[in-house]
Amino acid sequence: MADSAPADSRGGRGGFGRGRGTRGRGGRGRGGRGRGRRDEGEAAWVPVTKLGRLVRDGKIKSIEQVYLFSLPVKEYQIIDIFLPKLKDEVMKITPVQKQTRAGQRTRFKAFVAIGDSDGHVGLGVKCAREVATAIRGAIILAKLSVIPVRRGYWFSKLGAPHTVPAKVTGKCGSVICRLVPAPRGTGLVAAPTPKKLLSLAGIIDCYTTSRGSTKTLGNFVKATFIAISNTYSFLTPDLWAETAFTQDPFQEFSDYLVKAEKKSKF
Amino acid sequence: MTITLGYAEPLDEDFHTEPFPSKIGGKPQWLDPRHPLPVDRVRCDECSKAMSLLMQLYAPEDTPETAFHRMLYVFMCRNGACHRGSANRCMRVFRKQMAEENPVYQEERDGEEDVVWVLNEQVQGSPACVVCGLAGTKACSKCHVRRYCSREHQLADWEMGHRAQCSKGLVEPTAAHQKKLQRMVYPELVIVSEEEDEQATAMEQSDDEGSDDEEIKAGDMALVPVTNEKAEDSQVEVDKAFLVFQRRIQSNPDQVLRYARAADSAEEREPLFVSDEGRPVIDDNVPDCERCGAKREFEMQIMPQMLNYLSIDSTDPTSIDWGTLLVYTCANSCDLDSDDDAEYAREVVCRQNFSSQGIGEKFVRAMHGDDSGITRQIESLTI
Repeated sequence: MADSAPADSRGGRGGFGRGRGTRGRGGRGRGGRGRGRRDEGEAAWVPVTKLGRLVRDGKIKSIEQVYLFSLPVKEYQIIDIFLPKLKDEVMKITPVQKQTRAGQRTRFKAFVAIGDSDGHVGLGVKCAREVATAIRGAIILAKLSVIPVRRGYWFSKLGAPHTVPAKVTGKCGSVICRLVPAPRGTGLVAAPTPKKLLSLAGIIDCYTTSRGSTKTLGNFVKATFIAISNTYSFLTPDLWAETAFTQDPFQEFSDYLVKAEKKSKF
Repeated sequence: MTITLGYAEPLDEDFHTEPFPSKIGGKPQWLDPRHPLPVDRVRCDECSKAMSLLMQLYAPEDTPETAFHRMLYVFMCRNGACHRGSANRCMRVFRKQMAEENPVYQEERDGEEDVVWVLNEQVQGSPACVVCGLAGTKACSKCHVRRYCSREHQLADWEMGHRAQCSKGLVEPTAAHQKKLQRMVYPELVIVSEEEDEQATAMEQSDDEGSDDEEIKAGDMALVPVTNEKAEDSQVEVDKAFLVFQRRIQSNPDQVLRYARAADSAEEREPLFVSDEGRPVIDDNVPDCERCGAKREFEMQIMPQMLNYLSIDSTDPTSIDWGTLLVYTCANSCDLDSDDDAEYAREVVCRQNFSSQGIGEKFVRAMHGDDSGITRQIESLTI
């Protein structure tokens, strides 16, 4: 190996604590294993959260369980494991400037939309000094904001769902974006910006209407994203029936559930 | 010197010859074998059972001289339900130190410069519990050979295989018995150290967020601004402190320990928090040292990656979990009571959990009252 370990005042033996000096005291350095790892590109993912450990061990089968029980996902590698076919698309990179005493400080803001064209879409925005860093950061944020998209039919329930189930709308800033169901074969009738997002979501046919200052891409794309996420908050008649709730994998509120059971027995 | 990181590695042959090991799990190896910790100091406040050794760390200091050899022991209750309360109730940190001149260890010269400390043969170790390694004050009433710290461990050992052996006069456990005994403690691993790279710490400064409010947008440079519209706050709702944490550990994702007291600058000695809330403040949450009155200083933090090595069943909803464990110790490493060699100083541990922000948050609103039918909708998803 060309690079050697950094000059160590511990006499090359490693260890913790501040005690040093000529009397070398215990402690073990890392040894050969560290060098092996430096040859790889990215180190393997070591989960940090409980959900991460469960996902890595395969105890959680699909991302729908995460949504159903609203488990907080903090590590983007979890999304990678559930949705390996995610494609990302950089929507725009704008330079934003801040006036300082020494001139202007320019940073780049990247908007990235991510989706698997089959019911999952995410949006990330990140500002950084370099373009590549901003894009990378935005992709991670996009993965952390992936939501499910509900698709429905325009009229006849033949074949797979292809359009939004109802008229949904989303608002951000002054921009309002409205999605309207469309018959099969219409395609996406939308401006280029929401068109990208809708195609990543897996919506095949849709009419859209927008209002407000759609020139501001940030607000426009976020309004569309909110509209898409509202597809699952819309109570349609076929869901009027009562559903029995299943127990969540964590049973965080297990005490409460035990009490509730006792109450019903009463 | 920057922060020292600890990594877990499997045991190797040299390990048993080391006088001052830093390790995870197993039975504690006492700095002073004549005085192991009594079990009454290591009982969980919630369930009153004896705690298991989570890790021990050899962290010597140059000043004071009585801290020439210094060992920190971290004990943790195995019952996950006890961890709901404050960390100090289900976890204990003890500090034990010894001066350079002491009756227990002798110097031996190994080669020209290397000093090796060897246990003095005349020193008789005090008996330790065969199950957990704490002070073995009780013994099996039949054979009087196997020692225990408490009735629970005596019963456990009896059931695990000593019952079959004791009547025959055998004392050494069988292989099956050994295996069961090993499950009573955490898996034993060595902690090896490595310094954190400089670039990991420097990476943070480059991408701070800053506020976008006073920024001059590129479009505003026109003489007549086309629109006054300001982009709405387009940040994703993710815990920013967690993203900072994740970026910092990215270059060394399998670190289990961060030792900060040896770092040069004061800002490096700050702990790496995992969330914005629940940060312990030295004056409020961390009391001063009870012996000498000095403030307690942050020494090291235990990372959540260590949970991967403890063979914890994560599907159990009450399993042990933490964001990070912060250990605060006396800044002076004050003298333990010198008359009574058996003293161990108790230090403070604080726990910070991850915040519950994340992808599921939008749906939490629906579950807690604002139910526009969302939970029923998601049920219809093909699972």
